[in-house]
Amino acid sequence: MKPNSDVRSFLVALVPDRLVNPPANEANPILDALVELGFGLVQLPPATLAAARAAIAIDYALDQLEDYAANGYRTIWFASTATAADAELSAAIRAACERRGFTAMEAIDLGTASPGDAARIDPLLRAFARSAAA
Amino acid sequence: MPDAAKPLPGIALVSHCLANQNAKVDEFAVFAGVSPVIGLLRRRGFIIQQMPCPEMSLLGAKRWWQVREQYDTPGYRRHCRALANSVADVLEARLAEGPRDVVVLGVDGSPSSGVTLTGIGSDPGPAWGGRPGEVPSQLVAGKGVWIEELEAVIAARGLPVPRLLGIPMELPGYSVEKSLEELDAFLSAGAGVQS
Repeated sequence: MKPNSDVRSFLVALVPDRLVNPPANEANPILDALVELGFGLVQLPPATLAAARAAIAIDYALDQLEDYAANGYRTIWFASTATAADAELSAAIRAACERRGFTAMEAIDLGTASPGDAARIDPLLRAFARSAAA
Repeated sequence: MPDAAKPLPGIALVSHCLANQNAKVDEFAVFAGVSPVIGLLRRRGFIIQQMPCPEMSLLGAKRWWQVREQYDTPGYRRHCRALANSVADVLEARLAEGPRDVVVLGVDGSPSSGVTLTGIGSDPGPAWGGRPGEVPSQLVAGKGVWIEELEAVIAARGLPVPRLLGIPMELPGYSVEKSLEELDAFLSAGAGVQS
């Protein structure tokens, strides 16, 4: 049996696919910061996935996020509107959260920022991690 | 427009906890959040597709430790198939761009995500189940329930058979460096593979 040396962060980020798989040759400092700060990731489907299929994947992701939040984990969603498809996916997530009454998940609006645009996001991310650790 | 002469990047279907250690059952998180497996996949240019955790999504963050025979039920297998179909939906969309190497990275020792080793109750020994308490377990050759169902769904949908590797992070003597070397060699072995 293993000793109780569990080192989990209790920080979980719901992230767009484009944050995990950015366009080729693009730096990804937001993901780098998430890794460095100890966030675990829950990856959303690609924004281009057919809506009916995306809805299923969103539900599975939110099942997990909702349970984390209910058990004292901090949860944060990186909402993207980088493309029309991203905006649609974000709207679907927002609607799914409303249907569930899931309000505990915090959100950072990436807006139209690309994964390489860390200047706006990094301070928010670090503030979140600091408050979670407090 | 993809360069026809250049192979498309491989796709790595990764067990959920490799990108989110918070999904581990209590006492099993080795890293704070993201495991170094993800960094290596990024450096190697793989498309990363994190799969849902079948244990977490069914039983939640407060679940007990379990062994394979407890998960080997028709209901849990049905749950795994539903998740696997969602994984296959995304994989199918990614493969529409063209053939490429597809790998599945599981977690050896896991009753759900084991690839070459999985955890069962000790034999002889008390059966797992009933009143919670510490009960011995053992590792045996074989796949976890989730990996079995995932493979079956991928095959049933006519998608390419992925190459499989178990990351040994739940096994005694786990070495991050050694494991990453093995993963790097595994990824290299698929260079030029097109599904």
